[in-house]
Amino acid sequence: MSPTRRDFLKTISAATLSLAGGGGNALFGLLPGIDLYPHAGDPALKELAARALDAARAAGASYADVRFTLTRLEGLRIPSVHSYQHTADQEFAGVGVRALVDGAWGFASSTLWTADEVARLATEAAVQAKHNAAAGRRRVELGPPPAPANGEWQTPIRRDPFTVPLAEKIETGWAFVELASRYNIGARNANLGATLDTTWERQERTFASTDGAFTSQTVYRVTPSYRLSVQRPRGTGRRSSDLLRPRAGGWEVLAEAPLRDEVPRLVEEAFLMTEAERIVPDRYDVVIDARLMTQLVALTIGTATELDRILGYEANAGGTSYIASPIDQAEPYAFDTGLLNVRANRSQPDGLATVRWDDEGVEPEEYDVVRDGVVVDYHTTRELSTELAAWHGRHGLPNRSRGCAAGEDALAVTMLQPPNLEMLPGADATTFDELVAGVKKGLAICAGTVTVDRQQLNGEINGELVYEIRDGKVVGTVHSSEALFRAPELWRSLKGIGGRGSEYRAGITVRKGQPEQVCHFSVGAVPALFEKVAVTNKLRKA
Amino acid sequence: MSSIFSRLSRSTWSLFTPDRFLSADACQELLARIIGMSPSGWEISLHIESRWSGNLRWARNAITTAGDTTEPRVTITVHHRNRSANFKINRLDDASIRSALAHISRRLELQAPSDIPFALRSAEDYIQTELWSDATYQLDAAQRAALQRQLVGSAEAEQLLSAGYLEVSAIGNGVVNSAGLFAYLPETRAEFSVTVRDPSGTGSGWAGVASKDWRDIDAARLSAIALDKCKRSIDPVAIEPGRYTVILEPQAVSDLMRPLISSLSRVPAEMGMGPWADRPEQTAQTDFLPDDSISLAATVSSGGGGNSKIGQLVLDPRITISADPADPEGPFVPFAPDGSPNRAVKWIENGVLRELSYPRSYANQMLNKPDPLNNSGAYRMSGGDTTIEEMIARTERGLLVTRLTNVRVVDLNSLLCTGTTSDGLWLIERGEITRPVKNFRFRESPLFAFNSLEALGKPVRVLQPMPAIVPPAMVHDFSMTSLADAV
Repeated sequence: MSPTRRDFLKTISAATLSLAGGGGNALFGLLPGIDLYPHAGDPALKELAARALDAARAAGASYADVRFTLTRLEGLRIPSVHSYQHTADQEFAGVGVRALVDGAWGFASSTLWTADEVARLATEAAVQAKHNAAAGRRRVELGPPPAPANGEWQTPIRRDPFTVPLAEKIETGWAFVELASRYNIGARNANLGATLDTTWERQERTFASTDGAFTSQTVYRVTPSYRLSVQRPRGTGRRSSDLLRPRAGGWEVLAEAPLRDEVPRLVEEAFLMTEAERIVPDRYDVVIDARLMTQLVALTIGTATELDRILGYEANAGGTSYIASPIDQAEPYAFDTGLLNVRANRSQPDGLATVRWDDEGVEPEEYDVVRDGVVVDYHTTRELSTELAAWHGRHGLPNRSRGCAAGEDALAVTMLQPPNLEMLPGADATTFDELVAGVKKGLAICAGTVTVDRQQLNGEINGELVYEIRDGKVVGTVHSSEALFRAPELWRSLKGIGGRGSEYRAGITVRKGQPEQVCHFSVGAVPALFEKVAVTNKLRKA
Repeated sequence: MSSIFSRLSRSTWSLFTPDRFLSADACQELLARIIGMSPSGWEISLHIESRWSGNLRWARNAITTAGDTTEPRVTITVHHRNRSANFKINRLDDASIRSALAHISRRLELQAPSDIPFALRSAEDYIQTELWSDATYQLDAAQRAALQRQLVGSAEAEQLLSAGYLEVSAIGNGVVNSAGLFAYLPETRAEFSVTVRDPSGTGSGWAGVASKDWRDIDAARLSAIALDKCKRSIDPVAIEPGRYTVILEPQAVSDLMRPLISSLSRVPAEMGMGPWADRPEQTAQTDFLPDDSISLAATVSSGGGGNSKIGQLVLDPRITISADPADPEGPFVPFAPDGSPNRAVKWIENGVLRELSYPRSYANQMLNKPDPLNNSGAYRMSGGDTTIEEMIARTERGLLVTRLTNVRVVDLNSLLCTGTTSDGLWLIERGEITRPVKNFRFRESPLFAFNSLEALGKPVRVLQPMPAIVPPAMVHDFSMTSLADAV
């Protein structure tokens, strides 16, 4: 037994004993005695997990799992060369037990990692499950258990951001912000400023289940954004870095970003936007850059193929999907284009959804979601995959979870969260510029935001940098444009995509569930040309 | 020592021997323990939000998950020689506290002291309010599951699909500091929402509400409303986008009003930004909200003061927007996380902008006042005596709107928003609802809409993160810009 484990177990039992008669405060982490906590991988957690699973079984659970998370988060904003502020600085713990009794779920969570508390949570989860089972309208089936997951995994990083001194973080940030403030804008009358926002997160996750799984994973994420603005008397232009994007990784993601090479281009592009003309609403052929395409793929393909949304389990929360339920359909859902191919994974090294095992102990595989424009598979968890048994059978696919079970931390119940997605590049080496060269009258929209409605069906594309194109040439920029789309029609109008070398991968955040949870995943995409897209002036009313 | 806890009668919350969240005594003990672990000379302030919540979720008429969570969130803020830093934790053992204090210490070491002297306040005067309901705290997992069985029965009988969510929570809210301030108030919250859809996915109805007291929530009635809306919304027809007279149900009014409430801020206005600036700075793109990096110093150096619309008529004179922690229909915590009081305030009175929120630093430097004016996000909007039925009867051609979703601001200066109608939209012709219509994307500003007011109804509590009491409203020339036919 390691000293760490011995000390922890000794301390918690002493603390628990001393507070045994002291009322409920033991529930809230008010355990003055503890001065050492186990981290992911510590055998002490295995013992606590066993306690939870035993208690769940004793309370009647046919299946139970327990998760421990420790989430360290630091957010730093650098608004100018000589200032900084923390936007977040925290460490939150969680332990959650999920129990399946008579085909119904119960869940209980808190922040205290003690044997008594995890047993209480397990019992509470089982009691809830029994009440829910009494309703008897649906029986959750998990299907055959996956091979028991055992082991440790960590996001590959070179340097843990939480070992980097604050002074180094600030100096690195200042140097980036200075790149903008020292840029020579010549004789142009303008104010130039940049802000760097970065959030670092480290989440240690331990998972154990009654199927024999015990895994420890440490996930590192970094969410940087570098925004600069050019203010001139006639308007303001804004650009954000393409290089700094949310992804899995360590300190090196920020420290080694070659922003020096990018800032001059961003400044000049922001200048172009200060000279933009107001959009003339019309139908345009539109080239969307790979960065903005990642959002379009994330929302109209990624979340739209979540089986829980499709089946209506999210109807009162995140919404449903325009993609029909495969359970009632003889034919698979087809986009009217052969250019669209999307694969899902949870293994991309810098992917925000990347893990070795999901929160049900399933080792995720790569799978095709859309092949030649046809939806060929859906994101599932263990219970959702059983609902697809017949469909998987008809299509010759393995009927098992695609490994999309996740909770934002152990305080939150496990749900289906999107995996990483890759829109595959075209067969030739078409570039963004080549797509633009093929447009007679249109727009090229770079960076910005895509929003969709509660069925992922209708949406808006708002560009950060929007070029006007005539006869294959950029002739200027436009502002206040908003491209409107209906997903099936938009994909039907897809006329060209970028090839290998034109890919961009972005980090995406969506919210779903009740209570609401944040889902992080990464999406890779290539630029694309869509024909005759309705573009409006977003400031003009009906 | 100022304690609203000690001044309130404990008998008003009979169940209040908290076994699922931190008690007042526990908050005091926690402060004493943290002081004991800190270097001398540190001034310490704690914001405590210790929460229990129980929830139940269902979809396709069957329970999908249920959960029970306890979490004590504590923000430790240390002030030392005009520097300050904070750290948040949710485990309150010695190891976690020591680790938090070490992080704070490293941040303090690196900081340059502020020019503005700071002193923790030892006392504040808070509004007395009551946020507790035994009924909410007592609604256990068995009752929640039993209730769900009753609620989905009628949807099931009509072969419709009910999905819903019920959550009850209890929170020990506290702010304590080493100068002697002690504020503590326990609070309960209940929320309920339900969506009923038809299996073919062409009709959808929604209803929901929040209250401190579960007994105020008529879940059966809300379920019946959602079911009725679903049935009446099946097979909608597409009609032309354009400007319509709309009757916004209270939830839709609050969905449109939310960006306005969160924009009620004085510093951006004085800097010439946002809807409340008297002389807004013109920019080509104004959809970026001003963020925290806009410093107060800039306002001060620019002369500040005066460049806001305070005193001007900004909405229809029938509209008053106020907030009061003691509002019986929507009470809220009378102190902010920093311990400053949340005061009763009239933001807009008879259409005239009266106040905009400001931080303590602004109050001290610009107004020579001790306290900030906080905007908690909770509000009450005044109403009228027109019923929705009367509004419909008065409408020659218009739309009845259940709610607005995905609302976001596209132009900060005008508060122009976009979003979609959801979960029940009907055409009104010659004073009667004639048919369900497909949803629209709208582009409208609460500033325009509530200056185009025809009538207001009785304000009711709706479902928003903070308490909102809002009337139904009849508005002319509401801009529906394109079809957005999601159901």
